[in-house]
Amino acid sequence: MRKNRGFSIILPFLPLVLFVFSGMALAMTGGPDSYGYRYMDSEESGAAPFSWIDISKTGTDYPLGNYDMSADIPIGFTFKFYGINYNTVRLSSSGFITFKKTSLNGAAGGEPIPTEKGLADNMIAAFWDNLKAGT
Amino acid sequence: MFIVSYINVPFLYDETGENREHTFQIILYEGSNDIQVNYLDVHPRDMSKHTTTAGIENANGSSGLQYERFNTFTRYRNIYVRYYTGSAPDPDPDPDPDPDPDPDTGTPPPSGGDFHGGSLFFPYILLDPECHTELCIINPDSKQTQGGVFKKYDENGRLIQESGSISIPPRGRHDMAIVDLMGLNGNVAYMVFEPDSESETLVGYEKFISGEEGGESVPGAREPSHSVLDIPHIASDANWFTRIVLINAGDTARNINIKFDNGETVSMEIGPGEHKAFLIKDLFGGDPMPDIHSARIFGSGLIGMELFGSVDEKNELTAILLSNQKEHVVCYPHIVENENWYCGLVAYTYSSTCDLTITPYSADGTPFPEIYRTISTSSRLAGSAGSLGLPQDTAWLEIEGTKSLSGFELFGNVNGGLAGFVCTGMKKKAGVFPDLDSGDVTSIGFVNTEDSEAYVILTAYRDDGTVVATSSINISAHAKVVGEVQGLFDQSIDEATYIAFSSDKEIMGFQLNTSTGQEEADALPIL
Repeated sequence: MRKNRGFSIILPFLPLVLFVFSGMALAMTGGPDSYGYRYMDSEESGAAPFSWIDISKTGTDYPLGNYDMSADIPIGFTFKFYGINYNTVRLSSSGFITFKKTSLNGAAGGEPIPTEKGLADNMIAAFWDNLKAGT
Repeated sequence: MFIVSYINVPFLYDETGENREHTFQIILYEGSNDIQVNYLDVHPRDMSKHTTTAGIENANGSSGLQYERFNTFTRYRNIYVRYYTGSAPDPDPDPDPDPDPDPDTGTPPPSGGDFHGGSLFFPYILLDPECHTELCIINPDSKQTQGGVFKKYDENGRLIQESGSISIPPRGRHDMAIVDLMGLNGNVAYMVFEPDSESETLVGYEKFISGEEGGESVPGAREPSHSVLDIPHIASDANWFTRIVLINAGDTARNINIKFDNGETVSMEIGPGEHKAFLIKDLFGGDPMPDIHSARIFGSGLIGMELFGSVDEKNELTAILLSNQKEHVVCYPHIVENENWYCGLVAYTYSSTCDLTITPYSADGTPFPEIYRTISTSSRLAGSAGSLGLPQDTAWLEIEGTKSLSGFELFGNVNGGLAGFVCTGMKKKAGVFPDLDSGDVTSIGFVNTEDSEAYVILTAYRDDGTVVATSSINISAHAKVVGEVQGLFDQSIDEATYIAFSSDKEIMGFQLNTSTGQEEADALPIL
């Protein structure tokens, strides 16, 4: 069964990708890890308001199957992650993106982060779980 | 900015029967390198074997952050989390414009630190009429051709020369002497192999030979420090020198502090892409520092190497990468002590007092009685087979610590050959012994660290990726196999330049090349 997903596609599970320019102000609540990363979320006092960016009409569709990983996708600029510069990224159907040249899709995730199990490395996990590619 | 959106995504198996759907997006920011994840509508869950998690993690799983709010399994709408480094994120990232040209030369100033993902660093280059350095890249992929370029940098991080495009066929190998590729150029401080596609599958090593200091091989380095690099062994006295080599792989200058185990601290700044090489004694007015045995370098984005050698006529020299990797159980695959060879090993921890359990094994996998030691904060266990009281037939050993350890071993002979390698991160099910040097004697060794027999397939390759010979061996649980590499094959492998292996168990492996007279020796772990 397919519900309204706000964009015109055939498969119901499609990451969309867009390049635009903007910025945002934040404060700290978590970390640092051993490299120096920290995080804060929008529930904290003084945080900028939440703002969803709708790319459904401007992005590019990347259809994925269950337990699937995309090919390399150009970022469009150099992005530094844990001290390393990257120009491409891969999308997992399990709710994360990775800079690793791997076909490992994080199936059986999510795991505590960081994990040395090697199920998924060099990644940004937004919602790491076994997610469904189609209905 | 770069945005990935996941729209109305359900769980693959939803035990609640509610068919919950989730909508979220990941945003990468140019310039600041911040990451923001927007959650329009999500509902993380707690399954029997896993939970929904969110966070970031580095390349080997040794560092990361988990977004703890998702530890409460409820519905979240219209929230975001932002990941960033530094004291505070830039509210309005404004990437630096291109630097102005140098008015004197018309060439741009150094773009140090702008290194491509997947780059392999070769931190120490010897290049003059008396010394030379060889570099090697291997493509372990059985199907895809891979390639890239070698880039040469000076000590300030300025790119001074690059090779043409190099293409390596599947299972292929490419080696070269730097002098053949680029001629003699005294400005070179380090080299980088930049792969075409940011591939992290290519492996490589460098081998440097010095008439005065002997020679050694070291794997190419890919992983910069997260926040600290340990120097597990320093020998700075009348007989030995220790040289430290650092590269700032980041794109900003860093202030680093080197804290030594005698309480001394030395600070220095290292610019983006800058290369520093110095003897320990140079930090202390040229005086040897026999009371220093280890150190920690506090700074992120660093590639590091240490070299130690003797100052006598033997010209012993060996080198190891300064590794980020630490393990609770470190294995040392080659213990030897006889009339020709000796070995030394080091286990180091920066943590509080650490209890060590040393388990020696014979070559057939029989464990000997355990040996116990305790080391204190920022201290190390260092010794030879004899000084540690190891049984005479010890072939290899493992050290288990109550704290995580870094470690390395070295072995030398009476003729002046000295070699070593880092012992963490060595266990693999597939890899390569990368250097069958026709002018040397090459020996390889395997240790099966698991509790059941390992089946290992060996394939000898030419540089063009074609097969010369294949073989297989069975290695009993905890046993060790070592010998000259030709002895492991029925067919001649004279035309082979490297050996690949695959195993159904995790094994440790290393190779040792020695000159005919054993005056020179170099070792590499499996890559």
